[in-house]
Amino acid sequence: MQEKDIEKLAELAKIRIKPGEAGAFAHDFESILGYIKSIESVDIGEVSPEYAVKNVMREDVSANESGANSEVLLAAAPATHEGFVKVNKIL
Amino acid sequence: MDLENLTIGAVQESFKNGEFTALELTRAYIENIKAKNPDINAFLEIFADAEDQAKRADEMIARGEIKSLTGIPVALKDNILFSGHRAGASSKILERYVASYDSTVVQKLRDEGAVIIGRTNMDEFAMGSSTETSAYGVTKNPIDTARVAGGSSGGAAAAVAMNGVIFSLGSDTGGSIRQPAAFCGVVGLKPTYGTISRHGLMAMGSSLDIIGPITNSVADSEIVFNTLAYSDAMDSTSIPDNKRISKKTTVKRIGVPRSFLSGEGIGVETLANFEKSLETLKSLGYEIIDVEVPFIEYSLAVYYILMPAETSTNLARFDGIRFGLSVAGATTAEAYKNTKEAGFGAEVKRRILLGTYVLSHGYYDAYYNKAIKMRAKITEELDRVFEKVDLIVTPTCPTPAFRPGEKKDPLQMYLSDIFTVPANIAGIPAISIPNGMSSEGLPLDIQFMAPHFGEKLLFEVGKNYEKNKK
Repeated sequence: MQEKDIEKLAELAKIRIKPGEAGAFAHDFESILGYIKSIESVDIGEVSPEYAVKNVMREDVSANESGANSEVLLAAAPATHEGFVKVNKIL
Repeated sequence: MDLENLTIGAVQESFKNGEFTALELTRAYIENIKAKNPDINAFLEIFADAEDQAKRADEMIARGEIKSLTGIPVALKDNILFSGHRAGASSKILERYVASYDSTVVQKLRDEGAVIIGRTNMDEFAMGSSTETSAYGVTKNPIDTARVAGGSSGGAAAAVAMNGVIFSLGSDTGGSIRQPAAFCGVVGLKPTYGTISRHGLMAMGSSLDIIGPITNSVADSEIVFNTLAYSDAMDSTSIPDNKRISKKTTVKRIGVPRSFLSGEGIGVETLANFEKSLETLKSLGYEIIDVEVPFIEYSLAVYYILMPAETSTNLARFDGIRFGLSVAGATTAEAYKNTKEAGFGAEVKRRILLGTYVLSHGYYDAYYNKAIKMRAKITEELDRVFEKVDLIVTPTCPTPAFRPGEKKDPLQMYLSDIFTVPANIAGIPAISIPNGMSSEGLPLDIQFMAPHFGEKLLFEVGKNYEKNKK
């Protein structure tokens, strides 16, 4: 794990790394990854299907009455315009 | 009014007998918080409507409408939403955020007539074991203010230990209720995953998070759990009430995972005290059996893959667009970066980056997929062990409360969760109970783990142990 790897991850996560911070994170990652790497070599054999994780889904129907929460949610938004959340131009 | 070690049952008796009112009790607690909080830093805010809530509780009591938590002062960890009140997960990114709805637990507390006194300090977004990552300073341990209160629910545990409330609600992703409860000498319960609704709890590791009580006694832990544990349609991982079945009815055999206890960094005094506890348990008639759990030792490694992976996904919502801090930028990407730079502390960034790494192309199979399989294996292994024993016992923490700044290396901080993490990985319930004092006058602890939905077993043994411990 090197500084340029940290910088690449930071770009993916849209996080800005301050000068000098990449080196410190790279150092931390070396010890953390060294620790979690211990699972790589463990032979666990087969896992019983009953212990496999599964997604929990519900029908894609409206959970709330339309507009019921609009006012309070818009009030929490940093910028709004005529009942919409205002964002930077994307295209 | 003597606030020392008040319990829910005793207080409600006093309400019924007219010894004091919920308002008088609330005022006494607020006065105590105001006196002690400048030193402890457990509370971030005392809610302005606390006395109004107490007056409503007194009206309920006057009508004879006493529910299990009516008039009981409670504090919330800063990541649990209470409509119209500030909630910030002790992060600058939510500095001015006001909750737009009630979490399911708060809705229930209000129905019960509990008095929600305030919100308490925590590690930023629950990422830490000492509250040192909070944007609002560390919470000191009320037993010894030179030590940390633990974390991430450090403020919630200290709030109970300093007699600021009768109980508090924290959240536990890898030990965040049990470890601070242990450090502060109070009782902390991490319930079975999916028993108490996560609706309105700010997500950290969604497959690991659970809300639970921090209390002065095991009996109070049981009252709060029984009140808050029910199926909730607003939480997709909430378990239907009819599937919450424990096969066991009572505890006879308790397992000790010997090899797990011989790892590095476990204090000599902690181990000696633990051995003494096993003798106490034997004298109470429990059979103590050594058990082999080879995979459980990998729990912390599995945790530090799954938790950052889920964290990096969950925290992507803090983008400065819909709520919370927003710092403008020339482009959308710049605005994201500006907002996160101003809003997130180092530990949050570290875990987002770590999560991004384990989920990235080329590493996904080696880390995330392997960890998912290991998690299934650990859960299966614990189920097998619970065929032989009814509970598993360990210390809660490898050492008593440490000093602020003592654990500078992130991995050393992570290792303080070694005994608590397995219960989150497997989704089983676990309780931490005070267990005497160290030679330095710091609380020691004991943790019991039960099979899924075995909270009743934890309360049974917990109450017995609490009464008879030496």
